[in-house]
Amino acid sequence: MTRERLAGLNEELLHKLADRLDVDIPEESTPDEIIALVSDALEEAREDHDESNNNAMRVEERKYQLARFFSEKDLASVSNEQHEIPDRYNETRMHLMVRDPAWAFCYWDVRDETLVDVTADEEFSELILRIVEMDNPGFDDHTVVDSFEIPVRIDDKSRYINLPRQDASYYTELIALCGDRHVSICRSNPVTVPSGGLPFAVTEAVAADDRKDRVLALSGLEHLGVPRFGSEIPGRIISLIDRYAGSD
Amino acid sequence: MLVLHAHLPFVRHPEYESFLEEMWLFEAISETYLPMLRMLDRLEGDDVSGSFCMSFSPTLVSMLNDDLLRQRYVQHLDRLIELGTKERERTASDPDFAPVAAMYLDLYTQCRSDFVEKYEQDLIARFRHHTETGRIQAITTLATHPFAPVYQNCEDTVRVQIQVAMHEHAAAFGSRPKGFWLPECGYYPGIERLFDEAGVHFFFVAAHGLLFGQEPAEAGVYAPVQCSNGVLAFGRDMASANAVWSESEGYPGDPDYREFYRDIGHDLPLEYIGPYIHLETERINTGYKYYAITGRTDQKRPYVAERARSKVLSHAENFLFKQVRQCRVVSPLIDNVPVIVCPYDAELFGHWWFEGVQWLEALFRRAHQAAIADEDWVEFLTPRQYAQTHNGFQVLDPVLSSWGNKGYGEVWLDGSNDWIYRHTHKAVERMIDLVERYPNETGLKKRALNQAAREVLLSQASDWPFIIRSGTTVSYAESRVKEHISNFTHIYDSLSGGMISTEWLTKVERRNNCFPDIDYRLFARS
Repeated sequence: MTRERLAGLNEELLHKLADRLDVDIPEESTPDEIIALVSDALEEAREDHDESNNNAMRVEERKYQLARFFSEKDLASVSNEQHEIPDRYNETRMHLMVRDPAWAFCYWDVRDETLVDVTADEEFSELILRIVEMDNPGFDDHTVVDSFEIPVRIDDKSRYINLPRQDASYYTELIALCGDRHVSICRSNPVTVPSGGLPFAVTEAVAADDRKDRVLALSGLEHLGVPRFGSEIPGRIISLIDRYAGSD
Repeated sequence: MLVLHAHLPFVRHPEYESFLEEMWLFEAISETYLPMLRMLDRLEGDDVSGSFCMSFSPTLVSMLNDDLLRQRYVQHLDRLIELGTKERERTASDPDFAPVAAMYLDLYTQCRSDFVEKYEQDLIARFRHHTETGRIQAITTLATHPFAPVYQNCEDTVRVQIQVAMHEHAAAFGSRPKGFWLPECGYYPGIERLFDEAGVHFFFVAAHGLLFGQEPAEAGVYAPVQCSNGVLAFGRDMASANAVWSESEGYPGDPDYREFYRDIGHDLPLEYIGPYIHLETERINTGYKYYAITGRTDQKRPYVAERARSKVLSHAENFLFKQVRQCRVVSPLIDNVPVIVCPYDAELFGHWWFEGVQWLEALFRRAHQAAIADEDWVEFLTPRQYAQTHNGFQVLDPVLSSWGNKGYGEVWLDGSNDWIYRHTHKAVERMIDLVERYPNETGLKKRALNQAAREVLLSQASDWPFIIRSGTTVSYAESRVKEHISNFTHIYDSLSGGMISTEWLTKVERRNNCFPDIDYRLFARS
């Protein structure tokens, strides 16, 4: 959206755009000043947004780009039809999803009656989310390796969880603390998070075989665009990347 | 191995006279699918060797086969031709812009003639012809293109997505596909079991999906691996990906190529351009883009097609040279002949990278010349051709991965869009429940249950969380998720209450009419 284009927007849309971009418009600003502020903020927002994307995502966005960044339709929040969906389903359940090797997302719901019962307990103090690391992804046959807890509010319904270890299995559990008692309300499905890098066994195995080292280097290990989650590429492979895969 | 993934979400709004987001399809037909068919026809006519793999999403196939959208596309072209005629007059005395305006008028006139007369509005039939000649190996993807890892604990729905896709593909292309494109390369461990059940022999994963496995990928990304159950996983090559995808370092960013962002829909006065933009007031891209990329400046140069064409040839040569060099380095290190897997969104070519289809054609022609001259060069193969002539692949299970930002799920699962999954997961659970309660319905109830199954699948499209996160047309993406969940819930509640409104159901069936043969019992608990 160019300055010229911004100049063609009516005042209401300009202010909507400014709100959406978190631009503070000083009182008594002239239209030109508002346009200048919004234009700078738009440019900044576009750059921030592009930086938060890799090449594949940037290209994919172009497919849906009918206008420039924000369309007037979006700004005016024109909805073609209003479809009501419930906020929740009044059931007791918890679902855990892996987002990447370091983060999981958990959402839950607790039946109103259950919540009333739990909080009616005289010793009830708070709800906590327990994150449990298991040695095995199956519930039937596992040993708890480690666990930690996060306090949650009664009206919380979801939470992102920073996972302490990669290449591990987890589940989560919503627990009511009632004095010394830990009352389990619901438990999630188990998930397994990947290593997020070259597993130690792999770096050890390839160390013994120069060909494998070179193949890994040539496979673009340095340009994957993937965080390493503490798993560094061994120095000897980096030197091979420089030698075999770095020159264009 | 070139892999083009053609996909658009299901967008069809008969309830409106015109609908902005239907332009996604119209732009892709004009700029990508028709140019690709012309390229395929030319290569066939000139007997040029080389073949590639192309995935067609079931939602895209459904829209390309839809009479209403075909009719609207022709109307869209008529408007563009009318605009082009006016543009030819407006720019007649301008030596810089007159040739560009004429180029677009020719382009859209040819689109109309090809679409209506040459291909008789049936693009899938022509693509099918090229699958029959072996030029392309057509594969499919999940029916409504969900990001599979967010449904790994709702495996029943992933299975249905695969089954519906296989059926729709067979109906369109005449046989069940042997390969599968995972939307966004979103792989989770175990999905290959469902592929095996469906008769799928191969799929594609992001490079780190192979490289970060529990054992060393002995051939890196230069050979597929065999999952424990025998299904092959091909790894994406990053170097060739970046050469084409990167806006700053890749070929599409060349200063002589056409600038995507400057469009007369934004540049010309409203009183002139009004009839050709949305609702005559909302400025959108028209497709008439007169400038070259030029550089990081607002002072863009006029586009010169000849100059861009010569760049296409040198970029094709450069790309092939790099692949040949890479193969020569890798060959002595691995047991098989190296395969470089280059998957791209099909719509990148022609739409964002205007000259992209010319570049693809130049690749095939140059490789063909080299083959005739018996040069030690590269060959374009499909996965089927590669697997027929190579074997002995390493057994290795890939790991969770995607081609999204940072390699996993952060694009489709973040603070802006995570609210979706509470509803889509619940809808799957309820759909399974409906099948248990109504295992063998007929008549109106069966229609309602089949529509419920469609709505569940449509709510899962990865496009909606993607668009919500990207910040453009957010209200539309949100309303689509809500619409499908709301429609599903309406059917669920109606069946529970024993009352279904025929009028309402008919309206929804007419609007969301993809997958006409769907059988709700696919959602039976496994």
